[in-house]
Amino acid sequence: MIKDYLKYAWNNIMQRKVRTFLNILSILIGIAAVFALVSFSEGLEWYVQDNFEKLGGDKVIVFQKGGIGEDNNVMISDQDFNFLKKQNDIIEATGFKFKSAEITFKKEREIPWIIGLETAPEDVRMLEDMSGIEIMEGRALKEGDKLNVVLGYRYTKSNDIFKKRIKLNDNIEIGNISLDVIGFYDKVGNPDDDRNVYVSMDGYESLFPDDESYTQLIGQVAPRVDPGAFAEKFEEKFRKFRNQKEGQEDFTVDSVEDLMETFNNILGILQGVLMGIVLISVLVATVNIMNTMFTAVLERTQEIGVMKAIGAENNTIMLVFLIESSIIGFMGSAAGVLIGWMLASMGGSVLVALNYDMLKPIFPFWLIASCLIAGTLVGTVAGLMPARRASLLKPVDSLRYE
Amino acid sequence: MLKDDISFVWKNFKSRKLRSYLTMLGIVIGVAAIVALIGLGDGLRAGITAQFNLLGPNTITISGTSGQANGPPGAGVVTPLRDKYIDRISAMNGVEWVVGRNIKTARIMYNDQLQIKYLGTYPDGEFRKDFYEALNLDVEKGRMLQDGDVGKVVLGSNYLDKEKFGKEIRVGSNILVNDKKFQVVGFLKKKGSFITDDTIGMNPDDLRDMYDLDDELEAIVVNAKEGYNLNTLEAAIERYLRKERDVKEGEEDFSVETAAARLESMESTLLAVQIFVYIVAGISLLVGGIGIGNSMYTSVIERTKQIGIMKAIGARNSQIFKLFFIESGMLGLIGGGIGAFIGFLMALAATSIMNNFLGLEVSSGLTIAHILGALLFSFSIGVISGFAPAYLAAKLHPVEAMRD
Repeated sequence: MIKDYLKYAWNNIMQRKVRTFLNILSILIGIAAVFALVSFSEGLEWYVQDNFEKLGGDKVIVFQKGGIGEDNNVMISDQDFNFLKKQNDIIEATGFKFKSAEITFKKEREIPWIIGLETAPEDVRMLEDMSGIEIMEGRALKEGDKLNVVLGYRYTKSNDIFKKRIKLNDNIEIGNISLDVIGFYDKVGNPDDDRNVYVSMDGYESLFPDDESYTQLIGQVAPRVDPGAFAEKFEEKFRKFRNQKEGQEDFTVDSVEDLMETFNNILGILQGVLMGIVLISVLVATVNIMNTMFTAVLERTQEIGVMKAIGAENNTIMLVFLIESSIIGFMGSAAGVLIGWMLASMGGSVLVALNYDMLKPIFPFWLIASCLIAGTLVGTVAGLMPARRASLLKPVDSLRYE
Repeated sequence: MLKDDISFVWKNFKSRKLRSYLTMLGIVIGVAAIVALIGLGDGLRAGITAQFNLLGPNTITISGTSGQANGPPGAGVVTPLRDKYIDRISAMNGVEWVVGRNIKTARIMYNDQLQIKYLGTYPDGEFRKDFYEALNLDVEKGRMLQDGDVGKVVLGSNYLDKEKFGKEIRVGSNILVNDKKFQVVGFLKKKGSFITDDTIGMNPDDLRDMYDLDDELEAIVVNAKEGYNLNTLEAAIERYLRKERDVKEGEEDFSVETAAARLESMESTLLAVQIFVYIVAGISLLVGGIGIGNSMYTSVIERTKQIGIMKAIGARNSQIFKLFFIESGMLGLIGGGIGAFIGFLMALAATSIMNNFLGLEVSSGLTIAHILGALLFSFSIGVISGFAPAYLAAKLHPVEAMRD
């Protein structure tokens, strides 16, 4: 039975090729846009999860309040660092200092972040974990390094930050002090972090002797300790340790998890707004399909009359028209997924070329499936009213219709 | 003649009311979405630009870094700007006045609550008034700073908010800036800029004392004489600074920017975002246009016989074409009109909601030009989508058509 219905619907669709094509076109546009959009934001979410949550999920960060890190407003000292280290729930801790400062290479200037880090192997590992990077060329910083630097990925490319690419053993200058390049980190995937400059804490102190405070402390909590709860407890302890009253603390403590949640929320809102705008076009496509289906019902009024006269039930008539509009929806969404895939892949490779690897799209199966299902449903919904009208036609009147 | 055409089209229109409405509905939705987003987007852009457009159009700003650093003004500086530059620049052609500014971040304490905020100087001496005027600064309460004020501050309008430190700050209250007591003499009027509205202003001597500064500056603001070519002045300042700081062209460790240039980079980013949103919204209008095309095509098929008869009694191809062309144009125009109206209301509602909840002062940037543009656009969409079906109708062979 159902095979006959499908065949009947298909024949009808094929009889009005131009109109079917226009209907498919109108729905495919919206589906393609939704598909591309979601594939990008899924890609970003996956990137964040893969790079930060996996490795940073058990970490808490102590920030200077204000988040600006200039003018020595907040002092986070070695004692403070030791206080974090000594916490029972903390199995490892490290501290960074960073500063936005000018570097010079062959007389060209750039103002990246200069990051000073502790150079014990476990401290270096903490940095690499937190940013999800590995050494690509040369070596990482180690104890005893002073005027040596490790650079971010973008310095290995010519005509990017500097006209000429930097090679191992080249020198760069920071405030008239010459530093020896000993290594390069691999891509982080966003252009700002990929131009970071890493120096040892010793080196940092000789570059910026006035910069006494740590910019950030990072602690790794023991397994089975909830980082969020620890951050909350530690904030209070740390305040007391620093002799500050509530409201007067000049620092904040956050778990990486909480920070990521905030990020994901913002991403979700952004995605929602864009999706909302895109879905308007799907709404318009629904109207178009509905219009076509009304036309189809009118055109086939006599035919419907005949079918009814020879015993077709209302439900059957309804079903036939619903199948027809659903097929249009399905074809439109299949084409939409295909085109969306192509668009997103193209856009993704452009973004990678622009150093935004983090924005590479991904195409999970559920996304394909839900686009197909949603598109088909759009067709079904658009067909509801026209199909109902067809099913309620009176056989005698319809036979007489011209 | 045209009147006949329109009344003919109108009759056709009414004979398939439901479908005409549906076709228009597609355009209505698309145009409403675009108009609402344009209103919102233009309003937002104007609002955000206003945040950064602090200085008048005749100003040139000098900073001590080669480019934009992360962090507050002064971050990334190797060789700071000096007081002595001011005298030299003042003597240049076309300069009305020059002032230096120190901008820092500081620990602000009031009611036992600590916050880290921007601290900026207002210039001393003869150009104080000009500077206030250029920034359009005025007090909401109390008074502005004057020469000779020591231990006094003027607060941005954000500090009028009682919630900020959990207790109201009044004119005459004392606040701690980096643990030193300062008396509040006034509050600025709201500027709608998150920098100015959040900044604490004091006299240069007080700030330099506190930070142990000698003659270093974070920024120098140059105001050109009315009508003087800003680019000429900019080039002259650059030449002087290169010599003064001993750097070659292309290797500058400072930057000189006109107000227009500063805004430009900002505006172009915002514009890019806006255009992206318009394109996404434009998709629905495109789909609406496809709807018109579809509907007109259907209408040609349905009226094939009628067209044949019209041709048989002498209608010319161009007349047939015109009929269908007018019909699709009308669908676009009427749909666009209703859509523009709805979109206009939505933009108004959206901006007032945003202003209420986010404390912004955004107005929907919609003008008559936008509305007319939307109408013209939707009319063109109707006409373009109707073109192929109208052509099809015009080319029908009368005999074949009547036989249909």
